[in-house]
Amino acid sequence: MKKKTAIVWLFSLAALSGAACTHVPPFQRGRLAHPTMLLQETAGPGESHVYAIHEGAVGGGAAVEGGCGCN
Amino acid sequence: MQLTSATRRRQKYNRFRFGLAAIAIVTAPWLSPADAWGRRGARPAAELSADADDEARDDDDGEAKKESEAKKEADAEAETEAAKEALEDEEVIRRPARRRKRKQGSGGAGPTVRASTEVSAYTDTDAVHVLSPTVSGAVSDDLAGWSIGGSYLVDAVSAASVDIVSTASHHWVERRHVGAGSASFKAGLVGVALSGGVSSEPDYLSIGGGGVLSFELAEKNVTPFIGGSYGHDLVGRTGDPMSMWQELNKVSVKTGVTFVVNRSTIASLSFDEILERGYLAKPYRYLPVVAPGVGAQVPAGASIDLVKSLNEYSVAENVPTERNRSALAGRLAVRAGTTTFRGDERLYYDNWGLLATTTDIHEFIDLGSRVVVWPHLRAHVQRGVFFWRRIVEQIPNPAGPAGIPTYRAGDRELGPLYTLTGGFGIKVRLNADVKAPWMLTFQLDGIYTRYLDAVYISQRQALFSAMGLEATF
Repeated sequence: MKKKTAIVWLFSLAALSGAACTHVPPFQRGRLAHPTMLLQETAGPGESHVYAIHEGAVGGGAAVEGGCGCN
Repeated sequence: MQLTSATRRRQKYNRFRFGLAAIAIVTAPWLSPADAWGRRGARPAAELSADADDEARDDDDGEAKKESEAKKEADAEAETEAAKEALEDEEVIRRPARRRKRKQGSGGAGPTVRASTEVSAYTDTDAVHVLSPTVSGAVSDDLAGWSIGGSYLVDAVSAASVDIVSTASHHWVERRHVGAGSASFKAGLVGVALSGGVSSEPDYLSIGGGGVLSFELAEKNVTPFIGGSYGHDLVGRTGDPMSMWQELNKVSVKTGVTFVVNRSTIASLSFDEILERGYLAKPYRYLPVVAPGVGAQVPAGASIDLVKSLNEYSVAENVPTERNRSALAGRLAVRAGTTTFRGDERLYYDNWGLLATTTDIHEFIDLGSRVVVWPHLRAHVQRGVFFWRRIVEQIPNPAGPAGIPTYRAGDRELGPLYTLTGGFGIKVRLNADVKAPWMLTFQLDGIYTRYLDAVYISQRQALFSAMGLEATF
């Protein structure tokens, strides 16, 4: 129950933070389209495996990309 | 008199019209739809003044009293910044049009083929060495919105770690083969990504697959996603028939949202829930057991000889057969000038009581148009599982023989520890063709792990390096 409450609170906080975001139209996304702005996993297959072995935690992997405005 | 009176009325109406026109000019950007902001001259005045204020705040902190000078500087910087951004916007708008024209001239738009290879190497002070070559390929059409890809990886592991030495086992060499495939496509605002993979070792087989649905909302400013995966693993001992191997099933659910914060910042928040059911221990792992009350004589990092001198007998590792793992992760990418800051944070908790935080930071720096370099820092801190013990101690039983704890683990990664990683990387574009680049990547990281409550070893240093080549055709 505590966990669920914590999750609800965190997502509510995220939603509130999201309200502070600026609407950016596609033609103003020159910076967002830069290759280093992708939210993909920065670690390659070898590096990911090293972290999986060294750390007791998992999850929080690649997010879905969004907002690049490249197509 | 009449003439004079008419002139005054005209002047009055003229002033009224001028006033209306001024109000219309000022309020037009606020009332017009967001799409109309594409015209450079129609960018909202409020946005410009906000940028100017920010610049003034950033650059003139120490000169707060010189308000007039600061304002002038801020105005000038805002104009420069606005001009740069306008140029960037123009580039983004114009580039696709030029690309399409050229492609049509050479037979129309078509798929892009990418091929890459990476060789990574790992070595540590616990006598574990790993070499991992990987090859991967993908075909995609960004305009049509589909892609398909695959990869193959081999791990060659050579180990003579302290756990092996302590049980008088021999140094071993093993290979792990991993094959994976993925496909994605878009149908309107909905994106679908599917993936699957197989991993095989002499004593472990894993098969899994999953998918993610994403939805592009508000002109891609907000992209919520939801997905799941299923994995079926078989765990055994090398040489044993597979019918004797144990099963492990994994189900995971992932949900989150990626959102554009402003013109230079993108972020995502996601939540993962991973349910594991089945055999979660290591079949080779045996733990030393000491007499009741003797555990206190075994300090953290105790030597093999000390543990052996107190060891009464050994017992197989035994952990719960159910594990529910939760991870809340946030990602942030901020572009400023020629650098990109990328920060990842993960908070983790599971029903075994392991609580962890992982922070990962990169600062990508453009050195010209062909080279990107980055420093990398990562920190991981965790609390041990609720059944963690430095050493298994017998439980006194006045009515009979002494017992042992039901759950006991020898996996140091289930105990309290922290890990610090630091390194750098470089990516170089080898050719001049930006549409079909050949990229060479190299990275080197040093990893320090401190085990706070384990026997045999209290720290480990490791080096990880990777070199990759990616070609686009």
